[in-house]
Amino acid sequence: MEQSPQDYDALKRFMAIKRHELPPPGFFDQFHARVMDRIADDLEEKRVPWWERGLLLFDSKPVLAGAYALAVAGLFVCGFGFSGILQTETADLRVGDSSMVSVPLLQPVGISAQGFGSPVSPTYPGALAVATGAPGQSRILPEPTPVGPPTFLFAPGDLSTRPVSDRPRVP
Amino acid sequence: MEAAAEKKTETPVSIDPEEERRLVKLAQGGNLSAYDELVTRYQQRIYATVYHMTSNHEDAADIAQETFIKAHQALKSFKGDSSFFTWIYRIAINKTINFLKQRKNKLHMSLNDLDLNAENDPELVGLVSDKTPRRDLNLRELQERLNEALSRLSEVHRLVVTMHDIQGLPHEEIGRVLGCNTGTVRSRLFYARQQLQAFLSDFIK
Repeated sequence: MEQSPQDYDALKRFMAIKRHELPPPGFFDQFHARVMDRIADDLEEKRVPWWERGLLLFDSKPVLAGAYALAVAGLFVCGFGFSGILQTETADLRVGDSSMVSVPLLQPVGISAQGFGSPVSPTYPGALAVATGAPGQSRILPEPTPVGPPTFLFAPGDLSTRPVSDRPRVP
Repeated sequence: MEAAAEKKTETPVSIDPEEERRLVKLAQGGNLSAYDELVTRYQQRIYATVYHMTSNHEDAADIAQETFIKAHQALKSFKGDSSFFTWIYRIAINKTINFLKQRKNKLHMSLNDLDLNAENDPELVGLVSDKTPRRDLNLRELQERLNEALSRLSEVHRLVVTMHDIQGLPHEEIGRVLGCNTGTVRSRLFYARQQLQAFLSDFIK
């Protein structure tokens, strides 16, 4: 695979030009100093905590701070929206057609002699389980009917006026 | 004049291996002065390799700088299986090849000036006078033609020409740097020279 020296002689002569190419004077005097400066900067940067680096970045690039705030706000909005959807779905499952629910999402638990959290068999949706004391037994109470404000608060009652007594009140 | 007449190649910087190991050990321990010493010793060779590959001074300066910074970051992982020079040379070459792949065919030459000795180099004097068919060209124009021809070679072929014919590295060292055997290095060199001769046929008798 070696070429004969005669074949290569002319090309070798040509290639000698490359060995005379030199960077601008003083380039190498500054080169290693620049490299070491950058390494020192990198090491200094690593010593600064990440959160402080982030703040410094925000200082130098306010656009990033705006973008970060926007992203956080977007996350909050998404979070609220998602939680709203979840709540709606849960409410639909509770009040909706019970036949649609094949598996109860939340299994009622009761307090029994076995301890808190013993599962009780749900008889019907919305049932409230109360432990009776006997192991594994719990009494199912019907869901309490909605209760309004006390009726006497809004009862007109006796609206007839009474004369104000002139006598001073006895403490 | 006799010194100029000597065969001029960029022979590898002779660094005592023991001294190199000592400096590397100190640098691995966080001694920046020791690493500065290593940078000073190898900067010319690393820069020259990248420059001959890219034919662009600014790109070569950037890549050489990145090479030394990357090497410092990875210094802890250097186990000493090869010499530090071979190791850092590999980093430089990988960075250069990645750069060339990104640059693709958009060649933008920014050539360094020829030193003052070039005018007196007997090989070059002969090149621009009686040995060259194109006698009207001066050294600067020939330099541009040569760099254009080199840029037409593939990266691996340009690499072996740079390392062997310009920098004077032996085949074995090139094989160690490139991770291939000397047979592969020789065959690549043969092919690269053939290609160069074809590209420069107008200028070479």
